[in-house]
Amino acid sequence: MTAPRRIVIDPVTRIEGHAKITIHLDEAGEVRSARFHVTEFRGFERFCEGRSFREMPGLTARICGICPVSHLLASAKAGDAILAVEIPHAARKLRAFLNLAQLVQSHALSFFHLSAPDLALGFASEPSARNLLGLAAARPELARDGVRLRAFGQRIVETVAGRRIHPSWAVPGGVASPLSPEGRDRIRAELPEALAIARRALAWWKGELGRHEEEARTFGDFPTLFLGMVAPDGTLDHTDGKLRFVDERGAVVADQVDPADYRAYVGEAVEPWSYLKSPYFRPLGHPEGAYRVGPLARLNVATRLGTPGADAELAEFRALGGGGPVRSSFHYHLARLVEILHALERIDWMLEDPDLLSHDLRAEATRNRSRGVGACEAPRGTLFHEYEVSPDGLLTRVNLLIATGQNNLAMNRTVAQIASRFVSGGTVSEGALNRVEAGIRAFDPCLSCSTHPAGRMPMHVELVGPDGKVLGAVGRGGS
Amino acid sequence: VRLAIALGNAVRADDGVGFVIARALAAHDPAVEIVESMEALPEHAEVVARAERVVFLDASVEGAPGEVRAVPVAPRVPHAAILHALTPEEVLGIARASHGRAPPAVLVTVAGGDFSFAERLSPEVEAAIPEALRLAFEFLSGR
Repeated sequence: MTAPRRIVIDPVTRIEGHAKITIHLDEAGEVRSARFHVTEFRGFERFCEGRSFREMPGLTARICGICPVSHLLASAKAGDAILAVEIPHAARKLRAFLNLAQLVQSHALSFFHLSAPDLALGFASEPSARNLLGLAAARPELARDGVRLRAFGQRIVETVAGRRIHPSWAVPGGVASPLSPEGRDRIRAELPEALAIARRALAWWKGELGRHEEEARTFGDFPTLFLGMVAPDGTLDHTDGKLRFVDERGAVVADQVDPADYRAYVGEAVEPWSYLKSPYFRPLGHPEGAYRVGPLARLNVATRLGTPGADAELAEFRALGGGGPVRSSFHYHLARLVEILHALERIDWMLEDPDLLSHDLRAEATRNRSRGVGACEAPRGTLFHEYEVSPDGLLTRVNLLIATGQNNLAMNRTVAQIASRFVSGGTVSEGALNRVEAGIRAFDPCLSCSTHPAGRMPMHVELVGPDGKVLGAVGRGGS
Repeated sequence: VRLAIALGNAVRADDGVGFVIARALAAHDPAVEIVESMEALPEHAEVVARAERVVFLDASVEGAPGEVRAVPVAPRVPHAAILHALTPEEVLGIARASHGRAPPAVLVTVAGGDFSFAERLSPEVEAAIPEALRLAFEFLSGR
């Protein structure tokens, strides 16, 4: 029997934390399966052991340059649980406010900077022009809007938590400082432009969807479960919600689950080919319990978003699912835009709340429990921090369950689906290569919790024959 | 404005060398503006575009640990990326395209030997800091 052939896409090489895509072909040159490998080194959890849990918000915020706020908040919440305190209302609101601002800036990066060149210029357009600069030339207003919106989100984060995410802003028991009246007024003055950008982007992208029906059908369109955090009445709650799982028909299969009990619902499979864990919904087992997290999942899980413009958009979004959840991962893009609008509308409301200026921000306590779990909705999905501590508050065990890991099974299936449609006969065209990448990009995976020294390699695709010989390659120039 | 952009991860041993060099640079000459970031990002283009000169400080996987290199950075169009980080060349490319200007820039790197989770530099990298600092300072001074 001859060995199956493989196609390897090695997109971004960092010493660790680099991603690679392998497409397995059968003897006839057709796609059999595909995998999104991550060779990220997961030593961070061990590195934290022996430290005080009070250090963790600042330390874990340094895991990731893209979503430090998410780690900051999940870690502070795990600390709240170890202290066994209820934090002041004002602190809870300020954390929620910061989380929404981060969502805006992170989604803006994903949609406008990373994905818009494909979406606006076409997946098979000239590669040399299919980038941010090509977008700036072809659609200058779209490129400019992306820069402005991201900067708006970044400025709120800086205004609330300090320029470089001050390590001690969110702490076990609360937060260190309120929003200043001047900061609030500045955000209020800039908000109308941000809202206008979000509405403009939504109108544009909804108008474009008709041109992307094939992508919607092939970019990860399959049934899975979905996970997101909601308030007791089912309203999306990015920061203080409880867990809700829905199945592929939209039926709620677990609701109001305390994140502290996540292990009863989430199993973690480990694959030899990736450092990313492959979590699954435990009652269904692995891999039948595959679920998705992030913007698409949140919109599928929530009963409502709770702000008027976003709820109107949600109703339109739901039509794409024909009465059930929206299954295509391609619609992560639209979901991201709806969430940006929702976050801005909620920020608008929250600015009227005098609690954001309050100085009653900390609950003081010593270690009262030996275990704490903190969770929040990070831009890419539900993030869990679980700590166990010794009687003197030093960490004895740390488990981090990140959003990109929870989408791992779905990303693999997405790559396989796209490859099956666009790769055949053992050859890969530039357009097919780009679609495979774009399918992964729809999830906005984040592997920033790794090293990134200089020396990145160019992307390449290799076609490997049954005898291990390279049959051909598709590559891109590196730096 | 003379600008130093330090890239790296402070909890990944030698990957944090850029930050150490940047802080030494700021102590040496308070007029140098410092940006510390885990990754080069699109918004860095704005501050780069208004700088007279820019030095990027980073660790490298290439070379023997402690080897210092300074290479000029030319603007380049960004590739469509799956992940988030840009290269210094791409930051300059965006600066030129979006803000009309890409200043002279250099990438000063120190080859690292240890990228495990740790908050210390390996001895070879530590010993290379004065040389990296000298190269960065000379470039920013126009010498």
